[in-house]
Amino acid sequence: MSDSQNGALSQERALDAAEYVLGTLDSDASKRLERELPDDGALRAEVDYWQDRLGALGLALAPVEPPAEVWQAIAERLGLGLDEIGTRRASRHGGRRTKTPATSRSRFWPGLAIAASIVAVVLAAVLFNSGVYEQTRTAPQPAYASVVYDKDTGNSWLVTAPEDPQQLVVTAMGRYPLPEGKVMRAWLKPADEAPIYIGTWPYKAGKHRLKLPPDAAKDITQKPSQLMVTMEDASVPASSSPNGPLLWASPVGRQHTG
Amino acid sequence: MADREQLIEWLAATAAGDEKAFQRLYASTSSQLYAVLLRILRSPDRAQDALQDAYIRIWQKADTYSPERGAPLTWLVSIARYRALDLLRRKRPEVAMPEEPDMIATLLEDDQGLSPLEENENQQSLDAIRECLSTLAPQQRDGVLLAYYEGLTHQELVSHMDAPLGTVKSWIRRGLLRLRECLAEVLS
Repeated sequence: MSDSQNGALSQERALDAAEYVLGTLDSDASKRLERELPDDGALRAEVDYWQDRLGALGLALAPVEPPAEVWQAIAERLGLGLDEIGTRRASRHGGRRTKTPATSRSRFWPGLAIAASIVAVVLAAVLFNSGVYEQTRTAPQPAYASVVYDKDTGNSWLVTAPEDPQQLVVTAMGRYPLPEGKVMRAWLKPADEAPIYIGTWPYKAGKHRLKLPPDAAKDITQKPSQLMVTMEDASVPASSSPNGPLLWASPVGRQHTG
Repeated sequence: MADREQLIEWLAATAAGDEKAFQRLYASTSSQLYAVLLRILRSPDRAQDALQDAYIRIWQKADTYSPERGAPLTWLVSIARYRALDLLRRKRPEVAMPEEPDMIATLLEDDQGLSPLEENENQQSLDAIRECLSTLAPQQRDGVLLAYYEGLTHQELVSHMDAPLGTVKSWIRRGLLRLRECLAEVLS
């Protein structure tokens, strides 16, 4: 039972919070305090207070411009779809990707365990015929669609793309509980080919965009493709092949017009 | 450096997944965070790694920030500093001795960190903590400054300040207590 539930923090506890922020609280005590933070509002407020006050000491230093490579590395790790980075990624994939026969498909998922949360795939026709697009009836119907659904958490993502797609629009319905230090990565896997990395899969609710490298954009129009999401280590940059367990796979459906 | 309201807006937009806002947030704040990391880690390579990690964390945690928690820039600085401390705990940089606290105190006297047209809130915060640090007993002040700018642990302070562990802990605790009391008066 936290002493803060009866009101203000004890002085000892408040000083623990201060030392935690300063960095002088020993390792065990720090870990204990971190565990208590989510449930202790007064403790959190005290930590915030010291972060704000001691943080001012950081402002006394003259700013130093970091090298441009730092931002590039950040954008790469997060799979940000900003123009220059998107282009770079596209050219890298264009250069290294090779076609592979179906029998070798397993080699692109080395040592992976299929996560238990892969569920029955929702066909794109359901999406097109559902009430989802009621509010966007004035907007053009998507040409491509996919739905990713996690049965454990109930999280779902709607994925759409127009004719001649340059990007996928991913609408995350709710926030996915992404574990600390992890990142979800999205791949487009055309039939009989290796998966192509298309960016970071969003865990935050709302609309996100995944830029499609030119090869992926072409494949999606020419052959049946699957959208796949893996769980990977955030500290390891995305590489040309998946590096973590497969979370979900969903076919990308094509709306037949006319 | 963008003002407080702009940073708050960019953080909120980043929380909603707005990549352009995140890039602007980075462009505006990274030089301050990099300065802090260089100071603590002493190595451009390590500071650059830590800066990357810090902004990855900022991207992930942007939705946990709210103005009630404190100024946006000090929140960002804290994230960067925690990352530096994590790295320090794994490997102390190959530097002979930390800087003397007097040099650090001198640093606090100059206004080199903030430009003359800096927004008021940050300037007030810095002025307040400078003023309050000057009211601490010298060893209390030195202990707090060495811990903040050098990332020294109690044990390392024992070596550096040549005093027993209990004494060092007491300097830090009393220093922080005195700071809190003073800040409450100064900022009320």
